Amino acid sequence: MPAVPTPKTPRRPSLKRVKLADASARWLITVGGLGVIAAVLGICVYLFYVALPMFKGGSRPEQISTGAVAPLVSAGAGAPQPETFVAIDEYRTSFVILRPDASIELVHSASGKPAGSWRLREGESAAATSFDPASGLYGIGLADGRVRLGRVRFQSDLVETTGLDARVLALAVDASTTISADELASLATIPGTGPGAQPIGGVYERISPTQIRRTLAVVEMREPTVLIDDAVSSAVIAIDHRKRGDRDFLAAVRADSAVAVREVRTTRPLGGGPPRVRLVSVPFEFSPPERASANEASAGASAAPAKIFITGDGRHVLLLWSDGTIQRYAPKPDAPTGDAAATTNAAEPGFELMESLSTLEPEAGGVSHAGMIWGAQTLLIAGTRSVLAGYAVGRDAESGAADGQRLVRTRLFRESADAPVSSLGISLRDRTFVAGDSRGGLEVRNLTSQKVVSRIAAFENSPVIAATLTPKLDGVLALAADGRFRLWDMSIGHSDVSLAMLFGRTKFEGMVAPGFVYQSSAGEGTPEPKISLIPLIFGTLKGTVAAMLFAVPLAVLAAIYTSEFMRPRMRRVVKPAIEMMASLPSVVLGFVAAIVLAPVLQQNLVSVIVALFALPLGALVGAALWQMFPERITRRLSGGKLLITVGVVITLGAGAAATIAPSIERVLFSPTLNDRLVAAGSIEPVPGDQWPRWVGVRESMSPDVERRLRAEGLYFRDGQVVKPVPAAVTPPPQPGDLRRWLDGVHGTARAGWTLILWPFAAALAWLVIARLRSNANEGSRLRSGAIELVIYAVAVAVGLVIAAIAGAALQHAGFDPRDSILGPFSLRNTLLVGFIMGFAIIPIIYTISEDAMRSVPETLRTASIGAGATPWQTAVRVVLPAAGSGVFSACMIGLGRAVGETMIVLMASGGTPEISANIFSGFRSLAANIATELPDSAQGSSQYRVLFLCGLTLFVMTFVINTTAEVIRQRYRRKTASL
Amino acid sequence: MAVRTLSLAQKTCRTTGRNGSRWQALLAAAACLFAANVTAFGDSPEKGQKTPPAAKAPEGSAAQLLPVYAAVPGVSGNLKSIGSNTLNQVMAHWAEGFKGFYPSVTIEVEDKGSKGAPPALIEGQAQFGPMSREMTPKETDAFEKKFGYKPTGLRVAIDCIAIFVHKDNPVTELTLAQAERIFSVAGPDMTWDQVGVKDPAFAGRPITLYGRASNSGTYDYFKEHAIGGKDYKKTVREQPGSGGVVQAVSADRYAMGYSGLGYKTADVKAVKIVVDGSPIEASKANALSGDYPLARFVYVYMNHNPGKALDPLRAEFVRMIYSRQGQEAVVKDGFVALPIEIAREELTKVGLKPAF
Repeated sequence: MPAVPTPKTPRRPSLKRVKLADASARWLITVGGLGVIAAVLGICVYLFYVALPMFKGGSRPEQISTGAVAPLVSAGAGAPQPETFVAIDEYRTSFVILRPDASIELVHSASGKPAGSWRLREGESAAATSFDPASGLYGIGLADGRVRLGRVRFQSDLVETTGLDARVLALAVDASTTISADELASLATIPGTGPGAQPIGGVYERISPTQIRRTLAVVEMREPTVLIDDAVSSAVIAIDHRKRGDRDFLAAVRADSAVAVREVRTTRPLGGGPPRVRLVSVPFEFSPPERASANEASAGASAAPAKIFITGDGRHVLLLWSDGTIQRYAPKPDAPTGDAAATTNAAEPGFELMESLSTLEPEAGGVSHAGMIWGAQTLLIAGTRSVLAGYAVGRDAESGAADGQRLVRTRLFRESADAPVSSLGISLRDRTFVAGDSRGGLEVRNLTSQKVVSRIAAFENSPVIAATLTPKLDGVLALAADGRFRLWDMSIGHSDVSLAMLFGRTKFEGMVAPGFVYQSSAGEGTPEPKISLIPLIFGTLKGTVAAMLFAVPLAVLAAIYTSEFMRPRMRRVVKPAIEMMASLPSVVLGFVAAIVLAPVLQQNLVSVIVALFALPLGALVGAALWQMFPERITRRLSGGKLLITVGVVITLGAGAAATIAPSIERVLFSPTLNDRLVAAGSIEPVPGDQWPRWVGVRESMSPDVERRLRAEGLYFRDGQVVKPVPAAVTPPPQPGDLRRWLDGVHGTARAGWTLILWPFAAALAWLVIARLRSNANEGSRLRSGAIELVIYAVAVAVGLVIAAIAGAALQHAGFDPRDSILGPFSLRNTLLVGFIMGFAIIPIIYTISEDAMRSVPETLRTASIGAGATPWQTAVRVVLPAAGSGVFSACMIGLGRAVGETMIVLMASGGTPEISANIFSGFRSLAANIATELPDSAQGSSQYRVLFLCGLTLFVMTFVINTTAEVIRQRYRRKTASL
Repeated sequence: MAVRTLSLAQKTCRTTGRNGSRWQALLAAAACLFAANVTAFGDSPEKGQKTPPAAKAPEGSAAQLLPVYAAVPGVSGNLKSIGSNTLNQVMAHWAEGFKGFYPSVTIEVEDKGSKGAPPALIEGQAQFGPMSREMTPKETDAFEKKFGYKPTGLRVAIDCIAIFVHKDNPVTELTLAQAERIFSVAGPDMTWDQVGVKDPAFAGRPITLYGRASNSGTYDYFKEHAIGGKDYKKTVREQPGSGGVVQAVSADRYAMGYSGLGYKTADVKAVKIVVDGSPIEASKANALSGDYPLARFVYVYMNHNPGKALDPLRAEFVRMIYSRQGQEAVVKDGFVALPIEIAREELTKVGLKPAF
């Protein structure tokens, strides 16, 4: 558009410029705004993108090789036969078949050609075998009652082609070539094979022009040994042989139900030299199982167990009968030890029957297969009809067993009814397992997450007789009864994570009840991943609530004071000063909390708690006293001097709190007479039949259970329930100790309730009294001040009485504050985080609230004052509601900051991911968890993705909070818009 | 304290006056606070380091048998080590010593816990990954997937993990079964009388437990070898460093914690571990003989292609570790020096010819 300059309109060019500026500003702002939305969405999408692969299954299995070996004898309905096992090397080049007759066959997986073998000597015949894929331990129970123990393992190394025997080079021209033991022996020395170890064959694989990888199968079998030295030659019908660190465990049972448990402890001198081996035979006391009914026993339930298992820690021996009955044997826990422990002989406590459990319902048929999962804590039992369940031992304070443990079902997988599980193979990296069924189907699952990774129809109508997952979890190998084998390549993805685990209760190994557990995964060892986000979400909310409870009243009241009562000159100093608090980096606050404040809080815990209530009360009393002063004095004290006066009042309040704290502690939190009698030894045992049922048999008791007992007037001493008896000399009263009270060692629940309820009861009493005398506010300042004081005193006294009565009632009803909001004190705790995080968010809430109140039109105030309202009434009933939406926003922004706050929580919260309402315990928030764990989680790992999911959860939480807040604020604003 | 400091800062502001200086004053105050705490945090373990009884003069140790390291020409470049906190000190001493020989070499030592070492090696961020435990198969898998060969772990020293109690605590010995019940979820929350303390000042008091954070190799080692692989109790307070555990135990009469013996101070004592009825002290001799059940090798992992020769920079560093100076540094930091045979084996592992 051509610009036509007109002399009469000299402002036109500038107008155009303004228009241009307007347009560009509009565009800039639109683009900027959209950009912000896009960025936020982008972050959200990215978090999703990283977290989502966790929930996808693994890749589709692709067959990489197949072949056939000599048929394996089918484990039919006849006499139970030893199991068949397969094990594959980590490069999937060869595998061994451990046949029921205890012969070992090495097979080249690419061609199916045999590459070596090993068998028992003439005259030895296998009656039972066991193979632990994790350690390679192979146990053979012989028909004559002896056992042969040893190891079958693979061993790989890289060899440079330069300097290698020409024959090997010739062999390794293909991708991979097998080599027999004889050839091996003639070719080269084999590193790392100790005495007794015999390589039975191997595979040479060219992995680069100059390098060859040599993978050998090494069999290391020791001479037969007698299992039990009693001259009975009865066959060994079940055997289990496992390794944990430097300890080998062996459990075996003979046909005459004689059980032997052995432990081999190897001490390896770190300074070099031969290892020292110590064999320990652990006594075992076999108890025949009790059958539910006589006809069941006659119906052929076998007299001898079908299988024996020893858990990975060697602490429990499980005997499994063919009808699904499990007997758990464990050593009796050591008696209350102490100084005696050193002098007592090293005699091993023998295994005794702890409990007996029927794992299969009658309709499940008998046991079709059973095996231990990696880590050897969970035993999987499959019924001939339809059931696959996992069992593990967990600590149960209320278990009837003498060792306080209980065998519980942790997992239940329903299988199709017509194809019982015929083989189990386990992973050596996590709790994934493969179950092969009698119809030739394979199912790869994860025990912990219960996720099905893959289902494969492996063989048509030939039972899968052995299956295994490859060591690196990148494939499955299955072997059919007719000798066919198939090897698949497969990625299991994140099989160890499922939504149910992240947000639901899960029963882990070692736990008898399902729970929300988050535990950062460890590197070594075999723990189940415990990744419930619920404790983290709970921790986030707990910290936030604590901070808000502390910050909101202080910040909003401060804002009211600054905006409505402070002189402008003063405000110009105070407001920036408080805003400067926000400039303190949160890491500094975290340091202060963790290093300086935490010990102070620990040492002055009672004073701090009393001060929480005493300071507001002190301020009120101060205000009442202020009213009693003559007006000419109060007039003179204004501005800074007034603030100093307030400071003096607060200091006096704090001083008063510190002064009365010891008395309060003595009155409320000292040991009761009964506690003192028991401590002085004036007790008598309670007969066993009068013990509370839940006490059970136990040698020790945790403080919380003991507290429960004490609520009934009973105590636990030296393995016995006792009750106090009056002594001739009453033990003298003792000083109070809040921390020991919190630990639940002494004192009553009533005391805690009284202290908690007191302020609320006093406030209630005050409200009631104030309402009763609402129109009686005439008289001189002195008089009304005095009346106020009296009212406070009465309210506090009445409150105490009410609190004491309510406390006693609650205690009588069986409630104890130490079960909920109170509990054992940790140095880094929620109260501390509440203080410091509150300190961090006060400036935000304060400054926005104050701005909101300042922007309330002056006319409203003048009108209110003109109508006869006091400044306080004006502030609370006119200004605050008018500024309500702003104050609310302020609180919500503070909340948002508290939810995402990282450094303070990281440093001051202790970082224990637990769900407990106890204000003296620590917690772990989502943000702190990300900060703690992200640096050492491998990119793309399950942990990494879980951390991104933490981020996404945090994002959703703040998003929901902010949206709700905005909706509420808008509604509120519409209401007050007319003002 | 925070409030007091803040008001102090405000006062400073008021006296110093105008806008800019007000902020400066506050920042300065904050910085002071920060610095004070940094030293408070970092200092104490070091303080502990200076007086460990385990850190005796290295006389008579295996270190004496090793050759003295001497610089060779043509070594320069950058090295980075990421990993174990337990080995952080000794790694720093080696780095210092190495820089003494080769001033042009820069070495950075970062403490990320043993768990941080494998990812750093895989991503090539570091040449050395000190670890206080062996790599797990999963970690090895990830490495091998990328490079086609396994990472090489060199045993660089012997370490004892000790169970510490406060010096006033009457407990002198424990069995590992007891330790398992105390630290793991397999046992209830315990009080001192349950481990045999009759002293009324301790009986009935709950045992406060301290341990290392979950990225630590010591955490994993103790879990696997002392408490039967069970999960730790939730009440075990996780400390970021080895020194932190000892410091926490020395400040709490009712505490028990596990950490490297090298971090022992005069305020704590290491309990003996009862094995087969005889109490075994955490000592150099017992570690070498294998009698002390919580003695372990500590490692430095490297990316070494078995077919290729090591580059001179890393080769010289490894040589220095297995020299007299290197092993003397080990002893100074409270570890036990390696026997000469193992030093020889380890050098051979990375294709270096031992000169002894």
